[in-house]
Amino acid sequence: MFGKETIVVAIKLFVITAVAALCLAFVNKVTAPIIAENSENAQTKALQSVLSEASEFKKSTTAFGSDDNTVTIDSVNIGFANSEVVGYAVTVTSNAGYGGDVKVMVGIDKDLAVTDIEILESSETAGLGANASKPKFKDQFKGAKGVLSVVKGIAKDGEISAIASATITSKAVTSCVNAALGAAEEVQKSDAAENAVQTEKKLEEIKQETEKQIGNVTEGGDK
Amino acid sequence: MKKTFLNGIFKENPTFALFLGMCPTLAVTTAAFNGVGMGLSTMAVLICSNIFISLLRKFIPEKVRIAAYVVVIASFVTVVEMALKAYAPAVSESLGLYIPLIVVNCIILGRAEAFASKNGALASAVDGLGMGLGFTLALTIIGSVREILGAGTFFGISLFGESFQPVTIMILPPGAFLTLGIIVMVINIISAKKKGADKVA
Repeated sequence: MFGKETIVVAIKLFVITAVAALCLAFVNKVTAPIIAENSENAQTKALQSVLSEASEFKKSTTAFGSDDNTVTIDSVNIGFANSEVVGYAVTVTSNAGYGGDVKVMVGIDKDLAVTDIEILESSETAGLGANASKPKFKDQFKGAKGVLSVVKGIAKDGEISAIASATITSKAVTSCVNAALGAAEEVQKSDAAENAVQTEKKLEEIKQETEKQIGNVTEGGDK
Repeated sequence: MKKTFLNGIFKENPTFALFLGMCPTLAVTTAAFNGVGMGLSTMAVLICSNIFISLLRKFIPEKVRIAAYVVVIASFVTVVEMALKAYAPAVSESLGLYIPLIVVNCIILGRAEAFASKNGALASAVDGLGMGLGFTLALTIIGSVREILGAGTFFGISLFGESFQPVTIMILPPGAFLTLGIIVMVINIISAKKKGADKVA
């Protein structure tokens, strides 16, 4: 059915691909753990660069919706130092960038003021929108609170001065920061509520325990 | 041997003379550093694939040679990609998608077909080195011009201070075409003059 030549060609090609696959498997085995470690380090580094006070981070399990449908909250990491909450690092993606998605990490302290922001991923125009990661624009957010708005020209309190000819990028980043501030507030509230519930539970337990003991004492007294 | 080496850098420079591998040339050269990274990555793949294809040239059947070349090249590209991700994450991040695209870079398949499949392993390695260096040189030149004019920096070092207004178009896609066109024009003028001088002599 097949000529001898066809079979030889097929076998030879198979040998080449099999050897190649073997080599790749080996290289993958060597590099995969290092690559995983690198990406984890990069994540921690980003977290620490926006919230330098914290030495440890824990992911919050609270789920978030957002009023602004251009942004989604990817994750909220709660920052701890000496097992005290010192702030939050919120990762937010906006789909309203000029070149598509803009992913921003926002550091927020426990007074709900921005400590720093970091642009994680963006496809904004080089030299225009990409300047959002430069201190001149980024540092405007430091210490900002509440809901921010974007203006062209000089910004007053609660306002962010847009990057020249990159208003869309500026707005996308600012809406990320606004969403992050909202999320941090929610986490803080739910944490506080949880703490309150736990405190109440504890009180209840103590009360019951005391009542039991009192009961024991009175019962014992009867005898 | 020396001729083979210099051939890739000047006379048959893959970018300025053969116009091969234009996609990465135009896309990644927004900064000199990217040019060097892309050039060296391509060179590593080119040398390895040239050596292997040359060694295997008697084993690889004529009928499926292109498929065999692509397998060899793709394997080396994947190795380079994994190695960069593991040991040079900064380079890997700035080059992104263009590393896997080395697979379809016509320089590599072109040299496999035109040189490595007809010559010995050592000559093929030298050819890969020359072509790779030529490509790196070209990408670095284009990247430098674009970075200096478009961002006011060279390898990330600020050159002109705060008052410099960068020519943003140079780091945008049109800047790649402008830079390439002007460099090729200059090279053509020089080589035309040289030819003229040779004739007179």
